[in-house]
Amino acid sequence: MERTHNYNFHDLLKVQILIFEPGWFDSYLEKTFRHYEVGELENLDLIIRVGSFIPNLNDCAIIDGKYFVRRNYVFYKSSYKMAWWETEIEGIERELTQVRVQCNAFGRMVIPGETIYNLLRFKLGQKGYPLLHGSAVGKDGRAYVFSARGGTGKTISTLNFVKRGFDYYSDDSVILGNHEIFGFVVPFNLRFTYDIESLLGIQFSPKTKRELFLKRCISFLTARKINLFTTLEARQVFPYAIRNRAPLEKVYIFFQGPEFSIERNIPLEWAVTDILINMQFESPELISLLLAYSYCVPRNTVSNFWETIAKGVSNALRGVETHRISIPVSYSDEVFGKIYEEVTG
Amino acid sequence: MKNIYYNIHELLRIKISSLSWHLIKDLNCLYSYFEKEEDEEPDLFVEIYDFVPDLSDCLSLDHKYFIRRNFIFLEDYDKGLKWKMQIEGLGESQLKVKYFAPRSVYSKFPWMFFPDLILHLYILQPLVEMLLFRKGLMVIHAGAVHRNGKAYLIAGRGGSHKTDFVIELMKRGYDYVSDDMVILNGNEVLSFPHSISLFDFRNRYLGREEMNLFEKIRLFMFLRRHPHHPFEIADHSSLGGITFVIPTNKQSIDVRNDLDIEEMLKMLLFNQMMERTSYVSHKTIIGKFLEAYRFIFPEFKFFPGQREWIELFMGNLKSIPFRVLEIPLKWESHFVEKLLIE
Repeated sequence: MERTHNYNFHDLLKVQILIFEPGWFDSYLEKTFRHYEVGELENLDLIIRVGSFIPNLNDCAIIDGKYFVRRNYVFYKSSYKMAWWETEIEGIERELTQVRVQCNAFGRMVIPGETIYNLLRFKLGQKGYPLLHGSAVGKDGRAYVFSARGGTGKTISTLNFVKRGFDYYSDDSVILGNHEIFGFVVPFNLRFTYDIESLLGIQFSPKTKRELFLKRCISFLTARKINLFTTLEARQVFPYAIRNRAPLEKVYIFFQGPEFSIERNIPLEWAVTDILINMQFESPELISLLLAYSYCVPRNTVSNFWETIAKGVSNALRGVETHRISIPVSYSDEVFGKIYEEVTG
Repeated sequence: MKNIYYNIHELLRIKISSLSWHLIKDLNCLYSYFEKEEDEEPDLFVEIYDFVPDLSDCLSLDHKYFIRRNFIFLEDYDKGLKWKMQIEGLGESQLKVKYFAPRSVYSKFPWMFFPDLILHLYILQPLVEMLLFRKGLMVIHAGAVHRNGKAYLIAGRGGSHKTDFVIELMKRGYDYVSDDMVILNGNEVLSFPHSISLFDFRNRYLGREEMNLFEKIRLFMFLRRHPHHPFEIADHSSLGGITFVIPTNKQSIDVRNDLDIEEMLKMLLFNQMMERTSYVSHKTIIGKFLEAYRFIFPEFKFFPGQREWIELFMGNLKSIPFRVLEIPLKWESHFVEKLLIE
């Protein structure tokens, strides 16, 4: 018996995930996109089947011993630490892309963040909606986007803003439309670097607290080799703040520097370059996949994917104020105060 | 202080300086073909010893890359080997690289003996490519043979039997140009014999590309001897044709002629971008490095996009014949008859 989940991302992308063979860490997979889960769906764009399968690799070209490619078909294997997974993508150039994934138990923890994210980024990008790596908050129905590399202070800024009464769109990825943004709400990964409880002034349930403690112990005992993450859904914490879409007001690009400084109104090309590089750093697997496919099937509609994305980003950002902020390594309330001033002022 | 000088076709001068021979010995055999006695001012100056970077005023990315104008520092961990490097003078005419990797018992098999191999494969090779590109030359990942003043390129990913093709063609009277990489200067092909001793060993003792463990040990003994090049290397020749070789699951060999010149140039670019030792690849350390640098200084552009690449090449390669060869996985010597050669 398979379990079927339908997800509708703002009517931009309709995805179905089917899980065959229940596994240990299925809950990660099921939790990730729960915010967008709906009952029934038609006109699907993407079907993902998780469960074992035997790939048909006849007549495939073999790239680097890893990618098996023929027209409209790619099969590849990947692994990360203890997880491995194999992905088969059928109809990569078609409107309906069908994907099959088989993986070990740990793989089920990893594939939402790796394979499925990349597929969503790919499908959304093909439709002209770049999935940008950044967070978004809003005030009075206008959205502010912060794009940055991981560890710069995106999530913590977002939480601080929400605490001060801002709307929440996303803290990790934002869908860019034509002069507007769409939220992309996925659960937070609770890391050990910041204390979300005191930050938001909330109390976790005893169950979550216990879980966090156990995972910290595992992480400590294995010398940070195994970091199991605990996820927390946004609607459990601040259901009142979540919004879906808003016109884009300002874009900020964060990076880490020696001290706080702002570079105002940077040229559009710079902003596009920064956002594109940030996206590419997030999805090395997608880059390799598209390269391998384009190498074997040069006459295709996906080889200029990153050019399409750049065009989409530059359309969305045209006429929007873009600033770059250098954020010190030690993120403090003072730093946030300056960002807050900048955004509201 | 020991110094090694390389001079690549009078186009690029490299100086490597280290405290002892011991550390750079394994590096030496890889570029040995270009070794020179003493040379003038180098374009690329590499120092291999412990150093303390000056990171004041640096911006950081992913807590790993430290960047300020014309300067990058990186500390990374790969294959159990911890190493650090810095590049100075990215926008200037001379590039200065400092590199240090302490030997570690925790590193994986070959790397514990050759910590400098990382420097060569992941840092030096991409930088050489980048500097050559600045001078208007392209490094192409392809084997090549030469006859009657014309060079015939065999491009392909790893595992597409480039070396086997070259060995087989040498038996049939062609000259060696390179088995892994060539430099393209407009229409002219310059050889770029990359670890020529390794090829020499395969050509002389094995007659094939694949090696088993026993043969690898033999290779190790062979490389330790002084490299000598018993065969003729064609340095300069004009481009005669390009064949792309793609290994497939098929049983029979297939020739595809359905591509146009633009698609061929794209294939050439994608082939390069998938290469681990190329600076245009996002997989390489230098590739990521340059991207990180661009994130901070977006006005920089290190390598061409798809359109620019096609425009750059179109003029010179318009009339060059090319084809795509799809071969079965198992190597057979009659494959060479299907190549685009005279």
